[in-house]
Amino acid sequence: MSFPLDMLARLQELALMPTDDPERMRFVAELVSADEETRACWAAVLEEDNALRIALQRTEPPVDLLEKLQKLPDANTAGKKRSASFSIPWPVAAAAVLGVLAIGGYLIWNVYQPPKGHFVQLPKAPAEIVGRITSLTIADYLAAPPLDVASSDPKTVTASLQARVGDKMPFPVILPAAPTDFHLQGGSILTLGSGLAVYTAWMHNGHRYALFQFPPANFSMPKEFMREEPQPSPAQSALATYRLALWPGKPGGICTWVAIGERSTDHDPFSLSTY
Amino acid sequence: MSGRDSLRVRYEALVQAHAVDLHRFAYRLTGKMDAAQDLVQETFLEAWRSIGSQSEPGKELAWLFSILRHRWAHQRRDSSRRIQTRDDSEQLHQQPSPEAAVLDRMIHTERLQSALDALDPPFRETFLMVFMQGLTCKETADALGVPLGTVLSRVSRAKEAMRKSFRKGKQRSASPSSETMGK
Repeated sequence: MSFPLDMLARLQELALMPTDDPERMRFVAELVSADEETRACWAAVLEEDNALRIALQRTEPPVDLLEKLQKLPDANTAGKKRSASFSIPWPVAAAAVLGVLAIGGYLIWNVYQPPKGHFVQLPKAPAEIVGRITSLTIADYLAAPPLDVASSDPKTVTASLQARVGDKMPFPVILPAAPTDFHLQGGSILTLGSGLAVYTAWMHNGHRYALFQFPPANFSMPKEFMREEPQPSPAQSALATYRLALWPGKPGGICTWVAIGERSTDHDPFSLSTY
Repeated sequence: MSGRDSLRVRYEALVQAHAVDLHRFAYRLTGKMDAAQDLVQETFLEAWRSIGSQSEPGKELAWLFSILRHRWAHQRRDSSRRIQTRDDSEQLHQQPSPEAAVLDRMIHTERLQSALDALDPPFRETFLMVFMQGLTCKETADALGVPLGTVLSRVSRAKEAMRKSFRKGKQRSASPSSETMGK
């Protein structure tokens, strides 16, 4: 490969800058007129960085971590030293703890209570589970798994994937009635979380989209939850580049759907949800 | 609600919101699950003891990360581990590997952590601050008190060392060469 080293170093530096950095924005604007090799190298640097960010998140904390941490204050006082004002009899301390729990519970209850209205509002999916699903599905999207069946014919893809998955899923393989400008590429059966998932690849205006259909039990996901599009955060920085949408479905059995596309495109991945 | 009660509520909210992110960071930093859990517990214990002094809304996660990194540095000093650093000013920009996204393939392996473990602590810390904590290179430089160029150089070299480590793992190479930033 003959790509200049100083240019490669520059691309790597630019890729580490925030997306709204003026210098990076100027470079991205100039990319349109850059040669193909530079554009390809820039894409490779971005993809590698994103893959690393996602891979680094792939670790599960111990199940009792939060519980242990929540108990820490019971054995330690707040503040740098034990204050005489906190040397209180245990019945008072116990009452205080109960008070905190009651007040905390009341506050949490109020925060998470759905607004009153004519419709029952579905609960939000737990953030931790959404985070795991986001990391794993974006990783699979980036890895672009080989297709078990490559075809643009929905019937062919559905039949092939259904034959592969058999009765190992509590719902039939379903392909969405996607908008006509979404073109099916094919699909595969993957492992996602603790079970299998149906993966299909789509193209729209030269951009790649991925759709996942899997049992909620793969992630202990609630069967019903409010549709959502997770937003970028320090822990999910890949979402600055890729858009992801989650929603529940009942195509003959309860399942969870996830659609992913590039954030730079105008097309909402939810548009794949019109099944 | 008393002052202590409100501190407890704040503490519990911090645990709920940030414990998992901190544990992931700690695991990548230490390379061991039990060490990561100890580090996170020490971090939250210190956070609880000084929670009254943290009053900047929106800065809680940065504050917790800062405590965690200080606790980690303290542990490393205690264990008297020798930290071998190389000249940060030396630029090392390698050609991209023939396999354009060789790091991508680490996603499905445990080699990522082995490659991280092979980095010198300052390189690993800098790399994780950028790639896991989500800080910009400028913010990382400010937090570590080093020049921006040092951060860029460390990140670049960390990535390259990880590529090499991964390729060596694939080739089942027995001994690390002097070129790696091994401990």
